[in-house]
Amino acid sequence: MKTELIKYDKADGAYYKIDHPSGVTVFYYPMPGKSKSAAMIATKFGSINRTFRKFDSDEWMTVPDGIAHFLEHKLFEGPQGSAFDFYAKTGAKANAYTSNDKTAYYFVTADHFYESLEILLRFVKNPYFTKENVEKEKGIIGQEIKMYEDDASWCGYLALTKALYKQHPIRIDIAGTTQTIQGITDTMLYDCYRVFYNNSNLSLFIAGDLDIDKIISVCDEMLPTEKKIRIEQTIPQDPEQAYQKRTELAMDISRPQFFIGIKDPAANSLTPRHEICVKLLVDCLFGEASDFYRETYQAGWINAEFSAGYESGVGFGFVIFNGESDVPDKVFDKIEKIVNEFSEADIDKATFLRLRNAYYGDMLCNLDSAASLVNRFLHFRQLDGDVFSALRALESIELSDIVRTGRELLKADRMALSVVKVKEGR
Amino acid sequence: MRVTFHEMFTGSFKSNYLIMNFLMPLSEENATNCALLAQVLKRGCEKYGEMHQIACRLEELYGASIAMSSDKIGENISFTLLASYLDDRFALEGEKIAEMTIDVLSNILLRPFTEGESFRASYFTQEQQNLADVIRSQINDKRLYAMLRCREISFAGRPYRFTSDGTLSCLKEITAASLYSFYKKMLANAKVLVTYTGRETDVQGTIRTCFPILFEGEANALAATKYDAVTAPKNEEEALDIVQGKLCLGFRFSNPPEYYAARLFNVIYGGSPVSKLFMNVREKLSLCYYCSSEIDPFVGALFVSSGIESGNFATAKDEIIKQLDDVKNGVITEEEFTNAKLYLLDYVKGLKDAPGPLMADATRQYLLNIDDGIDEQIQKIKALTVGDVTRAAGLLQLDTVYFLHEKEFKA
Repeated sequence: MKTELIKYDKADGAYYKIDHPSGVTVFYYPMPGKSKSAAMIATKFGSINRTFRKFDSDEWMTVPDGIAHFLEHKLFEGPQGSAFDFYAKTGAKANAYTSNDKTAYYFVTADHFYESLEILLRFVKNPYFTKENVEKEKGIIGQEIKMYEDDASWCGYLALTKALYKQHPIRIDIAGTTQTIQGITDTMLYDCYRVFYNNSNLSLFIAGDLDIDKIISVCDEMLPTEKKIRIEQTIPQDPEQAYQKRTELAMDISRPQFFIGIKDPAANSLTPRHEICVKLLVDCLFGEASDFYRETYQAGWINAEFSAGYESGVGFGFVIFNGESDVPDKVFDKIEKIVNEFSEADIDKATFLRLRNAYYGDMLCNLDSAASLVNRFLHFRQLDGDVFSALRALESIELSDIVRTGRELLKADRMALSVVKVKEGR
Repeated sequence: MRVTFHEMFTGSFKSNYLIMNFLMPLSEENATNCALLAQVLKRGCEKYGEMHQIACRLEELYGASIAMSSDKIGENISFTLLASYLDDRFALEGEKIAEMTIDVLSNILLRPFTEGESFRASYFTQEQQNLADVIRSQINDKRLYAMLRCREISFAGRPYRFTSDGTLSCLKEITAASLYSFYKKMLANAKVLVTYTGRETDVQGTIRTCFPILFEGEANALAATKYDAVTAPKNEEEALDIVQGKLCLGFRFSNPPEYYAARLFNVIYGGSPVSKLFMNVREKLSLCYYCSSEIDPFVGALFVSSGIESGNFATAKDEIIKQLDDVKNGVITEEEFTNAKLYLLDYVKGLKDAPGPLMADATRQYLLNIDDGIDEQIQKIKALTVGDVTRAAGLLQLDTVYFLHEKEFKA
């Protein structure tokens, strides 16, 4: 078993990378003096992973929308009851989430860490899907989907992804629809599980004031050795241009909401460094200290709800602007103008240095809690980096990198606007 | 003393947190004024300039953050200032981040842009409009909206019915001059709670130096916890253009329950994934994705919130009430009880690592007149019995049933 210690002095931190014989990669970040610990196990299986070759077979399959999320729900169940029943005996706070490119299961606890780790690894490595329990879950997930259908922000966001992307599965709702989940069966869940929950596709992240030997011994006991597999899958790629320029829907809300996106083709092979360059670029041009923000806020086109950021994961990335406005098209036009006219004169050295400072502070503060640390670690690990990737990248990023990123990324034909209008009669 | 300090020194964070709560009794006027003040003050101050210039300054300070908000705490309202900033030991050029951040904070609070005895008119007018939008937008999040409506109906006639955003009718009446006079009175007479977590430092000295006005003047009294007699439950329903029904139930304690017993009760009943509501209404009956309860210890109320298929309204309501009756009748297994205790103990033990919840706990204790350190809290929770929990539950009576459903739905 290979164990490596990776240090980063500026953050006052270090972590162990353990290539566990089971095939699972384990990362342990010691946090001396902390009372809380966290563990998170994750697979690169999210809503975009829909078409793949079945385990030990030449047959390919395409699964119904929402299956990764459905599997996440069902994995908690075992023949002896729900994993929540077992966590209940340790006091740990446990949960899971599914995103476009991953599923993650985690817990945070002040006591009984190793027992909780056993529970986590046991239920993730022991699927128990039956016809009955799959049917039962359709009611709960159906209500989760409907809860999101009443959420204007989520609906507007999803409509933006559908406008930006023509065929990339980022445009599919993570939970699927009440119709697509009806087609999910226990057999399909096993088919997905055998491929995506193979140990070689799993990473385990642990942070806290813990004992590395005890962590390894729990892993030894709970993680059986598995034949390593290479996942074969296809994810349809998109053209560089946005699919549609504008889309709108109407809901029972008080004021229109807008979502504006700029597709980033360079994110097809996303790296932590590129991600931080885009974030710095977006903050330079559209952050709270920018001319854009000041002018649109003073004009009353945006309010404090406005945000500008970068939504990204394995193989995709787009700049996103979100806010409430009576004139969403004017906001769009103004952003489009900045995109069209972008030049190196738009970012000065002082702004760049200021924002680099702000990112440095933000990244360090993210290392303060075990829960946020494991999350952050997972995010960068998905991009083949580690928890210090962004900090390391910041050291070498120069103003010229941001300007180059801007030149390559900012193109008006990659932009789309999604508006959630106020339903008439309100 | 008008100012109370609560300091929790720890070397284990990379960032430090400072919160100042200006506390007043909750009323329509106080809530609306606090909410508007938070928006107007962020527009700028003499020393650092306008909003975007303050943003620049905070970026320089390694992304320090300063936020202002209006927060409802039972039947009191807090004008809250929150600063969080990277610890000085991480400054790349030896900058004094803490000192410089608190200087921004004190300037924002004490030296805003004014015109005579009034806030700058252009900022005021725009923020008045912005707050009106915020108040109107309460309906956008249907889950939250249903909970607000349930509270409003349950507490009709009591200040608790107001939200921390205030009301549109009150907002219309406020002027740049009247807000300024509210602000002056707040600085002169509000009770102030200062909470700090982070590296050991002279918090009291800094606050005295930077905010001398807080150490003069008499403090206004705060609202005390008050229990109403519960009459017949109020039933209300409302239709909106939605696809999922939102069911909210309000319960009231007829007398004050013991503080820790009530918290443990909530974990057992609906405040956790080990709770009866989660295990039965969601897991066993598949009636919902979320069904949870929360207690407001300041007004002696319990609220349950759930998203359901509207056709299941009666089934879900009956089950939520049945689960409460079970707790009242002591139908709690030893396992449920032990698990709930573990869950609550784990939360309390983890407080040391969680600045947000730790500071919220300090504020709650201050207003409830409790002064228990983490170890004392642990001891008190450990000592609780099933009897304590059923006694607390026994004080609860159904007060409000609020149901938000689709326009097409007919009960």
